[in-house]
Amino acid sequence: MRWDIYPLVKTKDGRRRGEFPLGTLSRSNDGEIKVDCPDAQTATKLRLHFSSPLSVRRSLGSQASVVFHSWETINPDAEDFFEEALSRLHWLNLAAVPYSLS
Amino acid sequence: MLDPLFTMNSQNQRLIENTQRSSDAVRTQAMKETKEKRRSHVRDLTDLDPDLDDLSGDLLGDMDPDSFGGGGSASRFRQMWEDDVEGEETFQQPGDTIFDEGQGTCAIAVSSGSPDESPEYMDGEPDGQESYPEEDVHSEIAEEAEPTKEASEPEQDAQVPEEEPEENIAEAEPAPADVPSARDGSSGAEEKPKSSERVIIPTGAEEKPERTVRTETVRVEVPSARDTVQVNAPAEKAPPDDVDKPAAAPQIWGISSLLDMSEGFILHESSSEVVEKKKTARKKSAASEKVLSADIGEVLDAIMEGDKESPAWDKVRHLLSRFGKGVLRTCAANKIKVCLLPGGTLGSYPAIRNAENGDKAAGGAYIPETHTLVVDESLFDDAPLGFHPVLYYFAMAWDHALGDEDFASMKSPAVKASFEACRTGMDGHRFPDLMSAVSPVHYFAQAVEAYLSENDCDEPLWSREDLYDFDRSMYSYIEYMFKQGNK
Repeated sequence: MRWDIYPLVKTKDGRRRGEFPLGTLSRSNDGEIKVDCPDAQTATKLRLHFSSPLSVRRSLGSQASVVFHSWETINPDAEDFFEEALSRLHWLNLAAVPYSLS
Repeated sequence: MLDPLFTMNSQNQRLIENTQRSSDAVRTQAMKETKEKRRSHVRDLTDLDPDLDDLSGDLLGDMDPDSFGGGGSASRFRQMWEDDVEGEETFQQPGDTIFDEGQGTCAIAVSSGSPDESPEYMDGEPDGQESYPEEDVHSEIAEEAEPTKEASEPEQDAQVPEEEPEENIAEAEPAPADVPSARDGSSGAEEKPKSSERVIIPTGAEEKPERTVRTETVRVEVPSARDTVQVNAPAEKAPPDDVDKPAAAPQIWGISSLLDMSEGFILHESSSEVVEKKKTARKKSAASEKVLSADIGEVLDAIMEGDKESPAWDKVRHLLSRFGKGVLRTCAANKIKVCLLPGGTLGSYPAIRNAENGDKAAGGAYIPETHTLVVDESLFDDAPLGFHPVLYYFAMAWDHALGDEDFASMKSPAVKASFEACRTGMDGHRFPDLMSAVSPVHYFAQAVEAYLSENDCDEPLWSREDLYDFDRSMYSYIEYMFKQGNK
């Protein structure tokens, strides 16, 4: 899978995806994440973001009985780590778009 | 017997014009007419200026290489100069006592007292059109510079007839002593000293200082005249007397001084001020939330249970007040309860203790069967991480209250459509995290929590701005829901 990395540009109507991508992000089947970005600073931030553990919340219980949650720290080698990290790219003022949609 | 239909030769015509010019009133009228002609740019280039002695000078003006085909700024400036300064002086008659007396004042008064006319001199004429030939202008400048040479006028007048043969127009009649000849044009000012007042000033650098002086005089007066029209003159241009009137700068209309801070208008905020505002936002919000309206307080007292003396009691009340009185009343009507548990006892709550992984519960929980929201007091020891469980689970309770027996988000087309759009990765829709993707109930609760968040958490998963930027449809739907619920 491949994603294009775009900057988030502030506009009068909120943040919008930039016109041109800054680089690409690919993930192999074995879970290896590869960052391809000409900008060294952006590339460094991306590599650091995808290599640091994340604190994610887990939904527990059910709607029939009780709904609650817990916090869990996941490592980069976890299955859902990449999706969680992608959903938090806006912390870096970046946005990821699947290559098929860009 | 005089034939009524007679042709006036140029000599008679000139004599009449000279006589007319001796009168200030007539001269002023002539000046106005000339200015009108200039404005309308209706000037017959073939029309000969009767003031000219040298006809060739008039024709030469049209073929002046400076203005011939010239569109440059230098040629335009020169044209403007000639129109503004030197054009006025063509009406000045050397040797005329009356004219000399009012000569300087007349020229200046026209430019300063009539701001409407001044732009005419400022704009100048289009290229290719000269109001007066250079030679005439030079001679007129000389006349102004030395008006005291009237004594030598008879001597210079004697020289005039010598130049007459050069002109096509005969000038046999001697000009009167006090009315100098209107023959100003000459191919070269140096060649023809006309009258005692007319000091020949050759073209060149020597004239420039005078010209610059006059320019400054004229130009300075024009702005001042305009300033008098505009009441709110800038403070920096005001005389020292106005310094004592700091706050009296009028703000009637038009331009106001950037230095005037009487209205306290802030042009921008510095970055440091913005940072300080963000830092003190939590403190101010906490201080402002201490005062709740009686209606909201009454509803909260009806739905909340627990230790009222606990410091977390007021914090929970202020968080729930963000939902609004109408939403709180709806929840109260559906028997929603908010239970504040002592610190560290969330896992021991019966419903949670019996659930799988109940010992891992953190912050709060919602029990749909009993319509109860349970909150642990230890949640308020520090700022919660990622999101605020009180807002999250009360949103779930509100969702449950709207849906009667089931959750309304499970049946709402808007929520289900947005949820599906996020699940398929449609542009403009995405989940904040994987927990929001569990069900529309979690999706709706997270969206409400993001909508009501006000810098409550550390590293928030989604802020209100994030919801607006990344899931606009859900933001609009929640905004609509609150408006409808708090009518």
